[in-house]
Order: sequence, then structure tokens, then C-alpha cells
Amino acid sequence: MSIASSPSPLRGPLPPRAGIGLKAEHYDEILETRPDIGFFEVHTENYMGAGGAPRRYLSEIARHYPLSMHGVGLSLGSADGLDAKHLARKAELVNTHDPVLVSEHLSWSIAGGAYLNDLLPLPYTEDSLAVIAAHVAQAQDHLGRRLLIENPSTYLRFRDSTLPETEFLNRLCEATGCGLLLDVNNVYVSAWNHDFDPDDYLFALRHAPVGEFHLAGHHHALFDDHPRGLRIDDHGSPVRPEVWDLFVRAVDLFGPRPTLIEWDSDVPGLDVWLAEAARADALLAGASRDAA
Amino acid sequence: MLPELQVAFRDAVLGRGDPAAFAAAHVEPGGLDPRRRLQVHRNNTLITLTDALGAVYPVVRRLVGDDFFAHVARGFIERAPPASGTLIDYGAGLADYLGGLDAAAGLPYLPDVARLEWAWHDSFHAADAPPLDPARLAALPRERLPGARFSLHPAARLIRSSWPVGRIWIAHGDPDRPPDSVSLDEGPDYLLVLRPDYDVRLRFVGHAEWVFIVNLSRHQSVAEAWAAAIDIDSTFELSQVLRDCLTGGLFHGVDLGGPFPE
Repeated sequence: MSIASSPSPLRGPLPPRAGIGLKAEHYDEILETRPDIGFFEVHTENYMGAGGAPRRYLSEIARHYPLSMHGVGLSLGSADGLDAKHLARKAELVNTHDPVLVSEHLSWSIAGGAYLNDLLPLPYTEDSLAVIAAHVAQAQDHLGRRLLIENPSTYLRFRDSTLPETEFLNRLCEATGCGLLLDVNNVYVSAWNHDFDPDDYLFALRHAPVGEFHLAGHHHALFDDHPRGLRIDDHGSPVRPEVWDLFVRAVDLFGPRPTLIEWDSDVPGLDVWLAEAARADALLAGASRDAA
Repeated sequence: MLPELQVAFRDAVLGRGDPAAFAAAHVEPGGLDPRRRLQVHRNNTLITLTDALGAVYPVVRRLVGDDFFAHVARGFIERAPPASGTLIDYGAGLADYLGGLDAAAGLPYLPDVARLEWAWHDSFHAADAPPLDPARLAALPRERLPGARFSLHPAARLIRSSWPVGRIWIAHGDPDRPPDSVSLDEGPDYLLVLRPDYDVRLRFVGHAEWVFIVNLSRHQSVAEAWAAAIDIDSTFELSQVLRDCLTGGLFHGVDLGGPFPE
């Protein structure tokens, strides 16, 4: 029996396996070799054209694999309000492809009509919480789906912030019913950049909302006048050993969840990427056995 | 308040206003110059948007080199950042921006190369539609043809340039091969960007053919469009040109001003 003739495993709850991103340079190889992988995650915005090859490939791959739609352009944290046209295009894709997961970010990218294509940090205040909670609720209503919201990599903290990021996320989940996409690499990067203990961060989060993990590579920028430097999240290299270690502790704490290996620059061959996913799969399976 | 903070942050990222004052007022130093923390976001924005433009304009980038392209992209991004989070819509204005740039005046064909690359990108993402089946037209009684009005395929784009931009585009199309030389006297180029299925194709046509097609795209009848084409080239072969248009997938539909004969 071919996978395509039994669509139910593609639509039900996603098992706690590893997935990888979907890139144009791998479309044909994926369809020809059908690698054994838990799911594919796409940047929703890449498929917002009216038609053409990207959408055709997405439809074809969605026939064979569970799909996760990860948005980078909705700008939930913008005081400007949500872009209705962008939300409508997202809804059209969600309705067409029925992804198993739909996720967005705890960040903003649009101010005064300019989209900055970066996941910019929010000041963690009651005011910001009210803004983003209203937008998460609006997006969930419009999409008819629960969103997972991803913790950001941050490089700066605002003087105005009054709440820890973990409390901000816990309260956002509570207020809107959204889930948490826990990016373990982002936790590591932010902890380094602001000199806090990443395990403290994990322990401060509520468990139930965690619906997915992300893992990715980052680079370490060193400065002459600041040897500690900044860790920069660029999804351009293998997951670092210290992030794998933190992932193991996160899986211990929250339990196994679907886990994406992200790679967005210097994208490797499919075999290299699948090998990273296999490593995550082994850790997830080990945790499942321990729990049994 | 959040709206003011975000607008000031946007300005700092786009190099407007006074980023140092913004950083000092709003960013916790945490052992590092706050400007350096803010700079990460300016870098992210400029680098990722420059990459996005470079993906749409690979030949423009090759023609001017990576460094100059990054310089041009930075100026364009700062002046005209994307208006929405749908990045595939971004960059249509680069041709006009290049046209107004003194530093690019030595490459007068560059804006038209950019127009061709945008047409390619726009066609790549355009709506899918079946091209008009040549057999339907072949079955048409000849006396109905002059009154026929065609609609273009939604992914078809028409480009005309005084410069040989189609040849320049082809000569620089392969990043792993040194470009063939193109004489700037070889222009003008009349080009159709066609995508009847999923692959974008470029077709060169003659002047008369191009005028004929542009007139059809403006909903002129075949007779009206033909009259303009024959003024340019008295040897214009209507049936051959229509056949080429149909097999290339230029048309989506045809309106005969009445029922289509079965």
C-alpha cells in the first residue's frame, strides 16, 4: 500500500520524530528517493505566489509527508496590527494543504508600513503582551487552527521590559490557548547573549504547551573589545554540540516532541541534513524508551 | 509605548534617525555597547533582503559584481523596504531605482535587464492556467478569425528594450561559465516570457510580431493588431505568427464575439 493512498497518517497528530526543512534544491530528490523522515517544514511565505512550480511541488510533497507550516512574515508582535492580506494568503495555504502544525514567532517585523525581514524583539511588558495575545487570538480564529509560537533568539533586551521572557510566553499560551514551539538553539543563543543559565529558562516554562522543538546551527561572533562575543542564530551550519546537550535535557524535561532541524543558509545536501535528523530521532526514541 | 518604540527601531535598522541615541535610550548594555546589539538586527535585515534581491536579480548581480550589488541593494532597501511580509512580492522597483542611479549610468542597459528578471520572477509565481489549445483555433472557420480577441496566459510577460537584454541575460545566465560577449548594437530586443506549464521560457520575436502581440494583449481584434503589424513589416505572416504564439503557450483564451463553433 502506498503512503499516498492512506492519507490519515499525514493528518493526525504528528509522532515525536525529526523533520527537516523543504528547499527547492531538494524537491526532485525527495520525490525520487522518498526519504524516511517524520515531516517537512516550510516557510509559508515561500508558497504565497498565485501558482507555479513551488506550489506544485508543495502539493506533491504534501501527498507523501506530513507538513508543518512555519510563518516568518505575520509579525504577530506589531503594534500596527496584522496585515489582513498576508493573513488571508496564509489561510488559503493552510486550507489547501492542511498542515499538521502551524507556527509563528514571538517577535515583530513590521512597523510604519516597512517589513524588515528579521524577527525583532519585543519589550516584555503588559502592553506588548496585550498586543501579541490579541493578534495570536485573531490569527487562530482566522485560520481555525491552534498556533505554536516560537521563542526568539535575542541579541538585545529593552530597558522597558518588566517580565521575564518565560513568564511572557507562559502567559501568552494561557491567554490564547496557543502552544509553544521551543527552539532549543534560540534558548542557547539568548542565554549566551544575556548571560543566563539556559536550564533555568527551560525549568521556567510550562510543559503542556510545548508542541514542537527546533534545532539549528548558529555562529559565534567574537569582538576584540568583548571576547565573550555574541552568538548569532543563522541556521547555516550543523547543530552545535552544546545545543545537542541542551536538547537532550529539554527532551528529558518536556518529553519527546516533533523536532525540526532547520537549515536556511549554506543548505547542505539532503544526505547531510537527513543524518542530523537521524541523530535527533535517536535521542527522541531513547527518551521514549526511558519513559516507557 | 509599543508603536513609537517599533517605529524608532525600524528607523534605526534602516539607518535613519539616530541609531546610537535609540540604542542608548532603550537597550540594556549587558556588558556590550548597545549599538553593537542593535547592529545585529541591521545586519540581519540588510543581508537577508540583499540575498532575496540577489535571488530575483542574479544577472544584474553578475553584471555589477557582488560588492556593487550589495551597495545598490542597501540603498534600495533603505529607501524602499518591503511593504509586507510576503517577500516574493519584493523588488519590483529595482529597475527604476537603478535607472536613477548615477553610479550605474555606465551600464545603461541595466534597468532593462532588471525588468526582464522581474518579469521572469513574476511569471514564475503567477497563477496556473491551461494555455489555449491550438486545436480549438485550427477548427475555427477562417472568416471568424479577424474578429477574434485573445487573452494572454496569466504567466505571460512582454518585454521590449532598446538594448539586447535578452542576449545579455542568456550570456550571463550560467554562473559557472564566462559570459559570451554581446554587442550593444545588437538591440533592440522584443521578448516574450512564457510559462504555459511550470518552466519559464524566454522567446525572441521580431518587431512586427511584438507589436501584433502587444496589441492583442490590449484586447484588439486580430484584424486590428494585424493592420499595425503589416505597417511595420509587409511580409508579416499572420498564420505562422499565430501558430507560434499558440504552440508557445502565449494565450489563455479567445473571444469570438459569439459562440465557438463545435
